[in-house]
Amino acid sequence: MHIIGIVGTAKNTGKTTTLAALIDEAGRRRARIGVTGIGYDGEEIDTITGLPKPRLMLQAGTIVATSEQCLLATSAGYAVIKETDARTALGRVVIVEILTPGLMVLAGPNTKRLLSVVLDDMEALGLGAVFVDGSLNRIAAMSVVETMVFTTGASHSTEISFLSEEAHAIRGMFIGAECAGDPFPQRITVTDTSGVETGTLALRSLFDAEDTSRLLAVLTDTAARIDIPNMVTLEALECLALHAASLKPKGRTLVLADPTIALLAGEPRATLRAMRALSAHGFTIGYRHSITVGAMTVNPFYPSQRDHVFVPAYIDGDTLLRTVSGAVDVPVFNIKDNGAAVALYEHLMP
Amino acid sequence: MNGPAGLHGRGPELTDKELSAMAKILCVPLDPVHDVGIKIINAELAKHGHQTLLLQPDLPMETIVKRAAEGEYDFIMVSRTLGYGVAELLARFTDLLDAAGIRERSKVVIGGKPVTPELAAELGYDKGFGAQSTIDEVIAYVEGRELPKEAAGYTRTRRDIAGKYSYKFFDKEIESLLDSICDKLLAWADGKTSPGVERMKLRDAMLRETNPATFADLRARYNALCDRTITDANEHKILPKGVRVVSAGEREALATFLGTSTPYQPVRIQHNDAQPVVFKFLGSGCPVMDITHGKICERWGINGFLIINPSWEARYEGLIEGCLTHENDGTITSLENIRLMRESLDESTLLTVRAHRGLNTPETVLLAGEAGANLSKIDLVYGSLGAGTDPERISVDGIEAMRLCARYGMAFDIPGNDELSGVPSWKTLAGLLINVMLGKKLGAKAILKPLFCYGPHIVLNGQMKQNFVDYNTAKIYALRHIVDCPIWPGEPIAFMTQSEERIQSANTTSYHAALAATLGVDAITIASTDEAYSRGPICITSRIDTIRAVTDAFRFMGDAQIAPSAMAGVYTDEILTKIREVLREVEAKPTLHDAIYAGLLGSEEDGAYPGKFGSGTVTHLKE
Repeated sequence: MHIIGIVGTAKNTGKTTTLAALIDEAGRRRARIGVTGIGYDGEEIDTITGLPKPRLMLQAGTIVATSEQCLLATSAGYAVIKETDARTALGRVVIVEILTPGLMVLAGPNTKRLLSVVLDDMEALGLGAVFVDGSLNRIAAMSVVETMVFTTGASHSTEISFLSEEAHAIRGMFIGAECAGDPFPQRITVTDTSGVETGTLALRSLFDAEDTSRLLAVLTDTAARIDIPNMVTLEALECLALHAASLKPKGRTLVLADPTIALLAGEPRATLRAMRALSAHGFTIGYRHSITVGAMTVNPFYPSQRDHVFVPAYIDGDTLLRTVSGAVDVPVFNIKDNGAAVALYEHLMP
Repeated sequence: MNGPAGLHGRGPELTDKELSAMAKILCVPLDPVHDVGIKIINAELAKHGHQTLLLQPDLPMETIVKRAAEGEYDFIMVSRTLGYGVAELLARFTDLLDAAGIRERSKVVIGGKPVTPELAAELGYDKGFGAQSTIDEVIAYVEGRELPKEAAGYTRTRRDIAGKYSYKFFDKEIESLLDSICDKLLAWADGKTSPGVERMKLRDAMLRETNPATFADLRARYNALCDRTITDANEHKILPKGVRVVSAGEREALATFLGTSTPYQPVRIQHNDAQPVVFKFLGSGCPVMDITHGKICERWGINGFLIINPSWEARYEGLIEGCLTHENDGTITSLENIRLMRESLDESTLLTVRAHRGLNTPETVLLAGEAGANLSKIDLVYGSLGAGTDPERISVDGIEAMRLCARYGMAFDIPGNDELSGVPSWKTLAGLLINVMLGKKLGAKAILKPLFCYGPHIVLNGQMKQNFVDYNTAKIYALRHIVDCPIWPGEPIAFMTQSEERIQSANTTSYHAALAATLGVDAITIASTDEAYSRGPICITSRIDTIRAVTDAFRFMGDAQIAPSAMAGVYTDEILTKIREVLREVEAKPTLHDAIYAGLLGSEEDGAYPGKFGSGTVTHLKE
């Protein structure tokens, strides 16, 4: 089952529009898909800005995982397939099959573990693909998907140069060697070229600058691979990069859990700088679970606050699309452009 | 005291079992400055025996995550004021907790004034507590308990406004005068009938008739007593201009709305049980819009509604049948419309149907009773002087309507709105008291509804020149001196003190509500902030304006009192004296309608004119 996450750099960057376009396209092709989300989406009015939002119209046959309270508000006919153990602020997550088309609000599992469990349940139904709707700038739960579509736009910043630089940085963070390893590691490990453990560190919540010093203390000349399974801070990466210059021999691999860890470390441009500094000093960045950036979408819309209310505003869409496209090596779409939805769908689901 | 590991709360004196039942909670003011809310939550949780740790405001998120990981907390409670950009910050916090593995063991909770369950879900939190949440709800959530429905604000109960009153008269002279006035009225009305009364009897029979032939006969007799416009509508489906049947699509849309709009956490307007229940008008012309507004008002805690009928309906003999709508003020009185409203509104919501206006008073009460309405509205005096019905006709019809109220166990309210025409308060109050005594004699419970606002006579005579408190208070004092009867000031309260400006309008409503609460009245009717100035249908936000304002006024007053000045006593004595004078004069007349024609309960000089609708239609019953 192909799991595609729609992830945003901020609120109102076009996640729902992109998801709605993909769902519509799947419906047009009569593709049997699943849909869930890690936040709350599909509502008529934005919970924060009060501005109208794109709605999610689901076709018959679609499998949806959403919270019980969202089902109270749906205009679609549905049959419950499974009540999961996952719970959100809107009640238990329920997997349903859409029987008659209608609007649906999504509020699915809100953590990576719960999302993983629910996706397993959906996979058992024999679906070809599942779209996982993101929420705001949240990324952690998305660590279980295979492909991500990043959405960015004026809501995040009205400076196009910033958006393109950040898009470049995000894309760059996903480039890493695929490194198999213990799926449930309980320690930070250092191994030599033969895979023999030469040092370990206790796992803490975050791998920060302080932990870097501890790591350096167990880093012998034979150390070839460092596995850090937990969250890493930007300061830790910067500190490691600083010391990497004097470390010998070169050619070591720093293995993180997945690219979302790099994204969560800190400001993307600074994180990519630290990662590139590590590379420059002989470190290869690797991930135990790789995720592909399938595409990016851009949205020129932003909510502008005037007299204490939000009103719709726009930056130049063509310039935004052209500039971001030039900064990344994946296809970029303005999903509202003619043919963009079809092109994105075919690119993701060839 | 400090518990284990520097945590706040009870600890060392507890058994292991009790300790294991306690939750371990990290309280995080994820805010540069504001931490008052989370401090209160922290203190309350500690008071309930939970181990809490309150962090200082404005710590870096990474520091908080590390502290959260070190403590192995059951709950991480975050408070934060919200603005644009803050959502992303709060979302990043849940992301960090998830990436750090903390969400495997800790529930993450967000609190703040604008937080809703939907926003909490969007931000990725397991639970959200907002402005309407209570400390008890937070404690119950932490303790894994279902909060009793009432404590969670789920349970709405229907209050019996008239139930606790004896209708005993304390002022013996007034009681004796009312006794005589009502006896004479009943003696006059004995053996008399009207088309309105006869139609009610026929409708009553039609509602129960199962034989088609008999039904057709009843229908024909009913039609014979109706105006042409009504028979055209009922027999030939030729509806009056602007009236149409509510479409199947509209009914379907309403059903969808009702299916999705259950007020799962209604707000309570009253701060204590002694404070009055709060009513609003419904009468947009469209029952679907009325219900939509009604459901939203229920969510905001409104306790009851008064269905107001259109003025044109009052002028016709007979009522149109069906679920009907029209683009005009007042919602058409039909069994289908009333029933749809009754069935759509919460069981706890009181529903009043106005009956005294026009030529269909008994039939309206019959339909209200059959549809399950809780109250009706009958005033023989105002029905004539303010609502245009002939005094004799409203007397005959009103008496029958009160009998129907007794049959259905519905109390009826008596609006004193003739005062708004310029009638002095004592004349209006005398009229109300006549209705109370008449209802008592007919087995129906009346509710006094003195005007609780500015009025033309008051403006001219300066009783509210110093303040709005004394004279409104005096009316209540005077009525309490006379009889043990429920009082429901209206209608609406604060009328004529409101302006087109919504905040001013909400404010003045709330001040009158506060005064009403302090006087211990049973109910109040409130307007929306655009009621007098809407230039069309009332908007729902304006309805909520006044509900919220009154809720705050009730919270502000609690069980405290507003102290009127000494003038309230002076006005009370004046009103009592003048009520007695009016009733003596009325009693001296052969019947109530003679008194009305004589202007004793409101004269042409006062701005009150006996109505003409239905004039000459009262007849003697055939032997």
